[in-house]
Amino acid sequence: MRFDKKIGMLLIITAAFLAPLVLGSYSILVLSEIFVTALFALSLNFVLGYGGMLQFHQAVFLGVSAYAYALFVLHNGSLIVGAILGPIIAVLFGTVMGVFLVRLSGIYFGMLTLALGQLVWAVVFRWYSFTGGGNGIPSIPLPGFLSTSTERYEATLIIFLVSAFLLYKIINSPFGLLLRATGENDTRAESIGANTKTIRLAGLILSSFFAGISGISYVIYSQSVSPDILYWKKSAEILVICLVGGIYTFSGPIIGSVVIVLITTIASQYTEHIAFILGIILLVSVLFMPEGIVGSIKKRIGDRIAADKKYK
Amino acid sequence: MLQIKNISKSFDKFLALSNISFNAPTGKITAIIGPNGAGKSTLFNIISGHLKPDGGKIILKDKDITGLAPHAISSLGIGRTFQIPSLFPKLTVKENIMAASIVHNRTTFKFFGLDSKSEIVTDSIIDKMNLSEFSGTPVGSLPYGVGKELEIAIAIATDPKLLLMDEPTAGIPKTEVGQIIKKIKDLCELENITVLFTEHDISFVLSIASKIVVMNYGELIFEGTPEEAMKSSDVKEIYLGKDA
Ligand SMILES: Nc1ncnc2c1ncn2[C@@H]1O[C@H](COP(=O)(O)OP(=O)(O)OP(=O)(O)O)[C@@H](O)[C@H]1O
Ligand SMILES: [Mg+2]
Repeated sequence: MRFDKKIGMLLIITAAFLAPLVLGSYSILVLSEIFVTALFALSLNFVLGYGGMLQFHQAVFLGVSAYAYALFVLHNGSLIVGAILGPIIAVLFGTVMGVFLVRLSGIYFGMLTLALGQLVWAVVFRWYSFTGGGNGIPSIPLPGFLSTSTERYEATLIIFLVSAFLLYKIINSPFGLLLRATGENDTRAESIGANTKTIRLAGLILSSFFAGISGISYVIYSQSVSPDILYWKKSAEILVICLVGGIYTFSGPIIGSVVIVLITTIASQYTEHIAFILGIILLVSVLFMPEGIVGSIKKRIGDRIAADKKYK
Repeated sequence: MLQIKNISKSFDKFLALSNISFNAPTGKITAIIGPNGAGKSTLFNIISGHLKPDGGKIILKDKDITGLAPHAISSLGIGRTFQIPSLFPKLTVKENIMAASIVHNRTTFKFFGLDSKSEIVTDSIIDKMNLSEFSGTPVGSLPYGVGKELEIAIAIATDPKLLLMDEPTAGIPKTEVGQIIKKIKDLCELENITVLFTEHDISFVLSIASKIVVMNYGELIFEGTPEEAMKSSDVKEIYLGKDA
């Protein structure tokens, strides 16, 4: 079973690397968007599904990282330093916000993420002279080795794979176990001696780091930034992706990204009411697959295995 | 080991604990008994830091621990179980125990790899508590009784010097109670753990505790050996009814 899974994954990854040989440039761009979105979703689910924290405004960290890169490069900074600076700025925001956030829990935590996030958005939106305001920053320079669409595609793929691997490792580390424990039962975690505030802060910082990485990936994909990428709608969208895919599994947010990006890409050719379609998808999934796509499939398989055992 | 000094606690105007003082001697098993609402769980929550007392002090080996945060109290060597199992439902039995073991082993902030030392400790606790059958089962789907045993296993994994158990046998079928109690007793003797626990069932308390504290309506009404408790008219009145 494990062996099959590994081979399957290897096949998918190989296929992904070779995709530009057979697919057109538009399809490649959509796949890039999936990789950017999937990493962004994984960064959110790290705190949402595993850490049990209602992070309603994850887009801030993607946004500030992308803007940090864009602004640094625009002011003649080195491209590589800019790419490193992005996630660092995201971590800075994650740390400062986290210090306040970990004092709260449940819905109060969620309200504060929204408030703080919208504050950052407002600053970016209003500070026209520095950020370009509502226009954003078009045509951001990228390093020479990312000049073709295939190169940019492969870059988003590699960034996604490496980050997903690291996140998977962290979730299965001692820290990951304590993050999950804290997310499930804060009181109990405290009474086994865990400093749950520090654990949740560390979780938020790591999450903002990976969201920051996805911000760099976003710039590689789109070569532009606008305030929309850190508006609350962007955060709501990624929340829906996690919920639809399933927040209690590692692959849930990835599958959610594939499904939602494909559906919205196709639907946007026919309608402008994408939010409405997202709403319907969420409604259907909450009603029929409360544990998300991956969660429900795993449960079905699990039930079948259990049933098989019964009749043996 | 543990000294409770003049602890009081009210909820709004309701006096849940009134000036409670006693101590739990090192290496011994002390039982707190008392009817529903006597204030036993409230006292435990104060000792473990989940509630702050209105007055009084909790002293652990000459150290004043009153009002410390629960995680700080746990790391000073006080482990506890909850009357109603309070576990990590999506984690497996093994992960539940290992979480405690990791914290105790100070590898909480290890972000990659495993903690093999904690894993070894966890496996041995699973073994001692006869939980291997459920090792890989998510805790949310366990029978209630197993949850109660897991409570104890988790507390043991924090390697406590003092173990607080809030009604460890409540909700467990009467036929299994004796067995579990014996397991607890052996384990604590083996690891030299001081125990303070609460219980409804007086008969089994008499068989394992070397000291008994009786509470009623937030007041301490008796403190002494099981033999003395048997003779006390106050204890009889609460426990066996006035006409006993
Ligand atoms: N958080 C709270 N707010 C208000 N009243 C409370 C609270 N916790 C406990 N009480 C009250 O304090 C009294 C003591 O409760 P406690 O749970 O300590 O009793 P107990 O001895 O553990 O009882 P039991 O045997 O039923 O577990 C009860 O009357 C209870 O209703
Ligand atoms: Mg109680």
